[in-house]
Amino acid sequence: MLDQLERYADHLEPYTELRLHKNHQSNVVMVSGSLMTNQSTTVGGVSARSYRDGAFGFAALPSVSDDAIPRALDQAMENALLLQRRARRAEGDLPDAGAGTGIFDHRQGRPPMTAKERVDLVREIDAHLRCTYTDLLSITVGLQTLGIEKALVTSAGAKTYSYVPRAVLYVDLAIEASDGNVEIYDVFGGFGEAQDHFTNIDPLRADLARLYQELRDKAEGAYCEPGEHDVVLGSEMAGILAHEAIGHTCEADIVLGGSIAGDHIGDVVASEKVTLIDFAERGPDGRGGIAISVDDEGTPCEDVVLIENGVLKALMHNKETARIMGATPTGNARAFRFDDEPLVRMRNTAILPGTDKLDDMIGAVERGYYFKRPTNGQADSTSEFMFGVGCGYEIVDGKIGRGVRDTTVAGVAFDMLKTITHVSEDLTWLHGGWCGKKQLIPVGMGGPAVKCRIGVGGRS
Amino acid sequence: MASGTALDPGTGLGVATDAVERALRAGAHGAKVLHTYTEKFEVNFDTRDITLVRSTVDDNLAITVYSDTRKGSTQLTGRAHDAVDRAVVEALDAAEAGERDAANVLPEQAAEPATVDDASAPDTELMVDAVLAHLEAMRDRYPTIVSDSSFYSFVSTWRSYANSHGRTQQARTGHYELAVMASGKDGKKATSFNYVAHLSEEPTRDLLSLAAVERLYEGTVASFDARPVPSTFVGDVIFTPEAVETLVETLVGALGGVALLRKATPFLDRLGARIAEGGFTVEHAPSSLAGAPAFDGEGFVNRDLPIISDGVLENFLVDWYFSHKLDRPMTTGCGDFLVRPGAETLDDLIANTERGVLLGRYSGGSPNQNLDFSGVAKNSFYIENGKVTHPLAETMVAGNFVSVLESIRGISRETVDFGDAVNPWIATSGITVSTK
Repeated sequence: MLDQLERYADHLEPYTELRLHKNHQSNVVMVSGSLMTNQSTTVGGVSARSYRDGAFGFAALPSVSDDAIPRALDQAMENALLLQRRARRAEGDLPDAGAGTGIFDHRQGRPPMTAKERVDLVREIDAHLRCTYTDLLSITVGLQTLGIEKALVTSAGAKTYSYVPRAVLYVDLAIEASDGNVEIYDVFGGFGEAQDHFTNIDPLRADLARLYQELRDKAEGAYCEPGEHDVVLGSEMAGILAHEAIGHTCEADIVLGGSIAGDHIGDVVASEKVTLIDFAERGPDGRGGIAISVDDEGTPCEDVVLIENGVLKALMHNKETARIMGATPTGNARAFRFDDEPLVRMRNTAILPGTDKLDDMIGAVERGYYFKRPTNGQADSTSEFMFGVGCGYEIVDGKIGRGVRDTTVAGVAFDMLKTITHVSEDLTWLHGGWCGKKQLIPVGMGGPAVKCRIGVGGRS
Repeated sequence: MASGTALDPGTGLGVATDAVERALRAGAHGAKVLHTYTEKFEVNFDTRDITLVRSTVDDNLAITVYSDTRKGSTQLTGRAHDAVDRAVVEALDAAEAGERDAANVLPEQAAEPATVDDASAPDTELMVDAVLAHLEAMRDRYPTIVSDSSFYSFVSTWRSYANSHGRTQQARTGHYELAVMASGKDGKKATSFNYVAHLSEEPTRDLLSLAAVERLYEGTVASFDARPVPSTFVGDVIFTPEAVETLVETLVGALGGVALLRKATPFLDRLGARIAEGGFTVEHAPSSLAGAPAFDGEGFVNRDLPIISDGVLENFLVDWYFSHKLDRPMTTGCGDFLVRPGAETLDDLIANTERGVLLGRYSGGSPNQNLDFSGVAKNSFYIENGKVTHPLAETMVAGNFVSVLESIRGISRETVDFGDAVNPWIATSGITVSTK
């Protein structure tokens, strides 16, 4: 793909990005023993974005053929000129952000799983669950793979190719409780191709047994007491805390759209135990959920330290927000599909581990909750965030108690983060992780367990 | 914008029927193909200016093949013959790896072909004019509102369906979409963000004249200095038309084929029963909503259908596949809903609320199979002794949507038209409202 673009690279002017982009996906879903989805998808095309005297024009065509490329370039320029003619004052050049180069193919070279192997794996997991746990009301098993393949050249000199794979297996179980159905799910896999994670069912058996036990605990559990509580957010929860509570608030386009983070750079916004980074590559342990080395504007990616020892330090930028705010682009411009324009997006966002032990953290709570796994979440420009909790337990006198039903936790990030008293020594990345902001995009979210005070939704 | 004039609905149908024939020649026992060709013109803007003009074309072919009663699918971009042939082979591989399922059957030739040709094209100059005028009006009328990631777009779609039983459908449709995201910022004071989308078949020169958009901005400027409810209580919640959308989406999920197959719905045995009070009526109403497709993924015409009438559950949402899978009558494979207005005024609903929340937006965990919900009341206001007193922050609501339906005590006669939905205000009770 990169070869195809290189012939245009020296002729791009004024500022222009030219991208060939294919998303390769497969999806197998079995619901209660019926194969609902058995599909593979390859969608792709060419896009160009031009910038002329303060005006951006973007165009995309559904082809990677040689004749589509000049048409996309012409159309992007035509759109930029339309905007310049009708609406835009001259606002100067985009900042120089360097020019990313290199080949970043993250495939391991193992033989790909065939359609039959993908279906057989899902079928085997379904059968195992059905035979082993006979009281399950419903079983849903899904195997989803995604390979994002891009080649990019820019007028600033960027020339890069990347292939970033991700494969996740999700299992959703439901059981009948005394007051209705109770459901739980978990996600396995992550960065890499399906064959890197799922050669057979054996490594999953222990996790499936643990998931079933969590379902039983939840079915026999209680609704949370509403209000603010002492809570230990497990390490799988901390990633979504990093993403929703702080990450979105620190995206520069969100700041331009009213986020209060812009008013707090240099302020103490969290406990000094909190350091939070959006990693360009795969994080300190090399296990983050996504890998971005050059962003979709051609900027070489750098880690962005958002919070360092409790102090808010920086924002995430693309070239446009950097120009407006007098900052340096950070390599956070990402597009999901061929016909998407790059937006300010997170990569692998994580709270760094501390030194505390999870058992000690739970032991330090007299009465509260241990929340293990999240569901969905949402941020706000005020830094008030929420995320759902799909698996959790009561803590009574420092010990794990009954399971709890689905709930939601919420708070104002710049207040809640100051209540963190413990940060565990481990680091866990969510296996999946999507972010919605005009476009869906895969992201990495990680962190240690933290002990804090946080609002919990529940029934009186 | 990039031209798609070389294509017409007939050409798209040719692509679909050709792909079906290729699948049969490759050994499929049956096949269906949905070809979708889309052109989009989009004007992006923020508080200050137009930020981007974007035009895109997509050309998507979704191929499903059958090997006996086993099914496999592929999707690809474009219609080049070699690419289609490769996709067919991939789909056949998937089908042969699949499960036999007696519900995997194709419908016969349609009695009523749904050839629709709404040959509208975007008025791009008007769209740019409308956004520029909107930005100027915003500076005058709402100087404390900031916005980001907003756009005004026009989408033209050619959809063509063909299957190996000779069923064909084709439609060309177009609609405008305005999507606005906004929050309030006054010095260091800020409000929560909020957003709204409005669909229409005709362009709008005055974007502020759209009720949904004006409501967004008026609600935002009224939301400075938000604070929590005074204490935790169980009380009333009045769902705004925007929040009613959350209720409808939850209902749609609970009445659909997947939920029925999984027995994951509290309404499983409630067909014909009263599941809601207050005259609650939901209709599947594509004929009166913008952006509704002309036909579903099996080529069936998208028709109006009562779902809940005066509180009684009249129909599940069962498409062709699930009608065979569940042995239930087929109802619809599409999703275009509106909620009928009631008899009371919004002022009356508020006046009859002793203590509660006017819920602007639910930001919470996805409701579970029992339809329990728990989340933050965003863009919302506290009601006490029949009066709206102040905007809310750090306030959570929790309850159960089955109970919400059973506790409806009033539905407003006023509605808000979002183009692709029309909703009233709905007052209900028994919801836990909590603060820290």
